[in-house]
Amino acid sequence: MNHEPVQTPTELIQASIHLIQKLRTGVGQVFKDLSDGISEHADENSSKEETDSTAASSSTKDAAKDKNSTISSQNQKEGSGTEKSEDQQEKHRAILRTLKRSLETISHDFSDLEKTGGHLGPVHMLSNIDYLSLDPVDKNTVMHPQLLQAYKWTNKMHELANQAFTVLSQNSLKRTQSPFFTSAKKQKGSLPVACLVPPVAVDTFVHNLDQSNVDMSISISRPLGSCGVMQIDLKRTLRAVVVLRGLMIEWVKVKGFDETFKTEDGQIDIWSSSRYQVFQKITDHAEAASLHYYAPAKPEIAIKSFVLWLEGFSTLFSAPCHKCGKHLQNNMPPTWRDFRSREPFHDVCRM
Amino acid sequence: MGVSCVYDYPVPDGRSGAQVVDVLQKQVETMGAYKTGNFHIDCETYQSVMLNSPKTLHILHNSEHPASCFAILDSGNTLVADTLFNGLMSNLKNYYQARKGAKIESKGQRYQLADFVLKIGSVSLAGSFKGILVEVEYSPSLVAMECWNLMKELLQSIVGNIAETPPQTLKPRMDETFTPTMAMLQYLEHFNNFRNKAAMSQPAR
Amino acid sequence: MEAAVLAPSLKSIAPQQEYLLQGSILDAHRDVLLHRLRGLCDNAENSPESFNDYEAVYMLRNSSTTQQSQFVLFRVRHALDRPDAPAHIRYLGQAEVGDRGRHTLVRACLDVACSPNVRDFLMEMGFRLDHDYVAQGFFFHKGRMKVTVYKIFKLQQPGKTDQSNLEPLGSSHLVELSVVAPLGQEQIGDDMKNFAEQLKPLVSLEKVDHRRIQ
Repeated sequence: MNHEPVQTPTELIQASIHLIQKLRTGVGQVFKDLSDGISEHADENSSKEETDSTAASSSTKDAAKDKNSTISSQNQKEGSGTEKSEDQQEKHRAILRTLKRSLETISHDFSDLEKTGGHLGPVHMLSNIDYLSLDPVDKNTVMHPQLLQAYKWTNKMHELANQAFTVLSQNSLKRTQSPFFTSAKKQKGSLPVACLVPPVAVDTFVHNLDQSNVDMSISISRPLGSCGVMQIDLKRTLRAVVVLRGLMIEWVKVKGFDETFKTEDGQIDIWSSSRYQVFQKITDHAEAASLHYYAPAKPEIAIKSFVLWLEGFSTLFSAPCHKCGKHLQNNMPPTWRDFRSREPFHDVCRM
Repeated sequence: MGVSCVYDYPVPDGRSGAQVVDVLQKQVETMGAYKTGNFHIDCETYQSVMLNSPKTLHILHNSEHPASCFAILDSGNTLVADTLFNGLMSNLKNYYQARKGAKIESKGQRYQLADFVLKIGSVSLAGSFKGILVEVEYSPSLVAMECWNLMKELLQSIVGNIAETPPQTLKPRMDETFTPTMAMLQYLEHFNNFRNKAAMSQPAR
Repeated sequence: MEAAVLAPSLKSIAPQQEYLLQGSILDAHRDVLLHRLRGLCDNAENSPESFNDYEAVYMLRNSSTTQQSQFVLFRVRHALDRPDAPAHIRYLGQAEVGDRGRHTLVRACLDVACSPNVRDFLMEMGFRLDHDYVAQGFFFHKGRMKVTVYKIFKLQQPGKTDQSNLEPLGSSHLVELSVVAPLGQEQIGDDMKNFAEQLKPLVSLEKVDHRRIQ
């Protein structure tokens, strides 16, 4: 989290960790030497004298407790062992020597560690995450390791994203190479026509649309800020909501006449789908139609022709398919209306 | 709730009702319909007593509308009320009395086929089998006039030529917005027919 | 839609009882009472809920001469200020005054919501319109206790419920404290009694024996 500003403390910490590890090996060595000496001593005693062995084993227990006491007990045994042979005594001395040497190393290492530790100042906490790692309650939770993991991931992702950027910036992924289309000026010029229509103009346009269509009742409201939501009731057949951005159709949903676009608290619900398969299908087709009639340069005509196309569904249940002459195909009425002629077709009879 | 049509499906001589119901169920299952539980429609009839002009009141329940009950007078005037309406009837027992042995019901499997709901019910009057009623409902549409031809196509593949014309009770109201009451009126008409048939056959025995 | 296989008619209907205390307050002091109730009842932060109902009482009478005195009353009520709310029929049984140990009036009570054609339907069933009125007032609730403070208006011309056609009845408001509960919950009476005590001396709620008034 903060590598650069605390360079020296980090080094100090690393050095002291190194020293601690060294100290630990030293202590381990001492214990190993001790156990070597004791096992040898016990071996020879058990073979020779029963009583002494119990004494030795009791002193072994002592030895395990504390290294200083062990040394003293060893010395005692050294003194008490009057019947030991010369080479055995020699062996004991050798063991003692090794033990002494390792003890010296320990005290040396320890003073080193003390010295380095003295230089260590208190760690400066710079972020809340550092405090989190210190919280004893959080030892049981997995938050801190997870945070660290996430941090690593973000770093990795950032790195990869940078690499990807450098690779991708070398290839241009524009769909068309022609400068005529990719020119930024041209795009900026064409967008506002459809999107940036003042709300008043949209309202009057929708009002006129409502007046000119006898079979449809069209109303507009703005529950979502500047976006207009057009609600269309077509005879007793269907209801639709159309979300407009300026005069551009952004979202279409179609439902049955006995369904509602209101949520329980009276808000307009533009998301939920119809419970009837017929109207789910028509919603799909209406979305396709909104793209088909899309004309950013003449948005009024686009909406008018879309609404006219939607009006074709007034005969949804009564008109047979223009191609097969039947009403039902897969138990569904003709859900498709041709974009030009508005003739009814089944989904599968379109081709 | 969409437009529904109820037809009396004839049981040919020499075959039991259960067999015919079985055949019908197989048939709609091969059409791709899947089971969506059971349905139950019952009708109890009350007769007025001690009133100047005698009146008949039918109380119908439909499992499709489990919290409602439909009270229908002879004229077809229908009141849709909470199921608690039964409690009101028990307070009127000095004026309207339930006709004995006149409880008639239709129950069976309910099927769903795209936006259609199909119900094949066996009718029993006071516990004995009387016939089969097939109901086809087209849920998305609310006007019988508009979707009749479409429904006819499906109906004819199930019940055949009986479905040549719309049900009698529905005919004068084809252009109205369909309500659950209209379905209940169709059931009542069929129930009354079954009862009359049963009453005619009784003296012959 | 899954498995409501049990015939709805077979479902047992738990008999409901209405526990009732009544009183009245002069129009001039109504607002004081409303203020008091607002403090005592739930939802004190909201202004009291008002209602404006038209109630018509229909009577079914036996045509045989021997039982001429027998009749059944159905009270049909619908809200004038909420056209989309359903109409409902209320049947009230014979009120039991009971002994002194019982604090409230108790009567059988059945509320059934129904479609708006209920008036024509009842007429066709043989009911006749007995009387009708408009009740305007306020509604409070505390727990399951319901308090209504309302004024009764007579209709000058039958069938018209415009404000101009209404004639106030008397110069006071009716105050009713009621609970609708299943049979045999006698401790409700005590709760209601306690609540009524808190409204004294503004209004004194008592069990009124209607038979004695008639």
